[in-house]
Amino acid sequence: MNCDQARERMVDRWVTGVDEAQRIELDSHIAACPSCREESESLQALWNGLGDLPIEEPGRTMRADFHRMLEAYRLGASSAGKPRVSAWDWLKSLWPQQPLVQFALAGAALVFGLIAGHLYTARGHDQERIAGLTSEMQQMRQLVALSLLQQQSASDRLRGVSYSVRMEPADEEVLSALLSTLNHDPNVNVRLAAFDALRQSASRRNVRQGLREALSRQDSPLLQIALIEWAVEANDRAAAAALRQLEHQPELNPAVSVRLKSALARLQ
Amino acid sequence: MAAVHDDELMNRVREGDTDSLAHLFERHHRPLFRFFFHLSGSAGLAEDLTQEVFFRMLKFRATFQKDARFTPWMYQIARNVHVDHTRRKQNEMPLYDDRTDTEFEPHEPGMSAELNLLRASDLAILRKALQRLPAERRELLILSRWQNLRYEEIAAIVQCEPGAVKTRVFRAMRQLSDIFFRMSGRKAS
Repeated sequence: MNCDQARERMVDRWVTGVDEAQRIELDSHIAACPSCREESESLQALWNGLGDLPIEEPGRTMRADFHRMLEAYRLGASSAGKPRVSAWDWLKSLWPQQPLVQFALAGAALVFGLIAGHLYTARGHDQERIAGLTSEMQQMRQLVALSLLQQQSASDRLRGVSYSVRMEPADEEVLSALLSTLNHDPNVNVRLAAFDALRQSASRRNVRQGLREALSRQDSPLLQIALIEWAVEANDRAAAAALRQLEHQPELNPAVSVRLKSALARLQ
Repeated sequence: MAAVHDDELMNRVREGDTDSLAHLFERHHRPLFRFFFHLSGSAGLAEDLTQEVFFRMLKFRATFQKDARFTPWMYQIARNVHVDHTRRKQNEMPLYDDRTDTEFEPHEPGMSAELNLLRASDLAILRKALQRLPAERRELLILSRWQNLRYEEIAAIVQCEPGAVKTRVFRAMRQLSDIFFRMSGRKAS
């Protein structure tokens, strides 16, 4: 056994262990070679020392954070996967086809209208209170979402994003905070979650514009690809300028480059 | 569920069964946490990065090939997560504390290495020495020392030949030893 082989065998002894024959062979080389002996002794001690370094356990909230993330992802995936149905189609699907049922429904609607009109005048005050409480609740949700988005922990910010998804309709201030998260959050997963949340409100002009601007600001290939795919799916021709700008970004990931070319071809 | 292999569980996640990711979380969140803890020196950061790995597994589950091995795939994601984090935080050097090398009280200058049992103070220095090792070598030592992986798995993660892993581990240990002795003020031989 030469010194190089002895060094490899030392690593075997640390990492996987050696059998009796290999141990004897290594020990006899080490006994005869002073430099290998010194190196073996000091490195073995350091290797043992590494094993003695204290290891912390993950915090108790980690499991709960994971399940919250999983739930938020499922929520996002299920709402993203639903086919879009127009309001007219939805109303048409509710309207019964049989004339008799149609007549009965019209009568029921008339009676309901009369009763509701009567109750409205009697309980107008209650409705104002309900509207006030609903508005307060909406403001509270907005406050929680905005506050979570400012937290230091990425898990908390992720929670903030999933919280903002639950707000119907999405609040302008929350959308603006999500756009800021998409552009400036240091954690790429929080940015991805913010993108998913924003995508659901992409019918709004300011959100679409924000997503286009984000294209040239992202340096993560994952986000670049996600934004490119959004632009293609939305057939957003106005995004072509931002895509061309991205094309000139130095050190562009090859996978991004391929998708970019294909997206530009489809949007032209 | 213990009988189901990790690869099969991840295949199920890829097919849309996100519950299977919870089983993978139970099996792997501790090793991943330790990987990031030794890599970064911060428990809080290790938790955040571990969560990121599972988020990416979910988000990019379609990239898991049907006949791929789960553990190397997971650690490749973990490495990317760490690289992305360090790129963003280039000006921050996460450490157990923020003292510099010069602040360490050197041990007796002429003392030879009698290291069969490292003292508590030596462990503190060793911990810092590990943090000062170049990221790639630190990563390799962590994978081989704490993660209970085979040479083939380590090679798949760091993308080299299995035979090269031994040489790289030895070099990393040698460099760690140099840093350790420089910081402790002792002679290696």
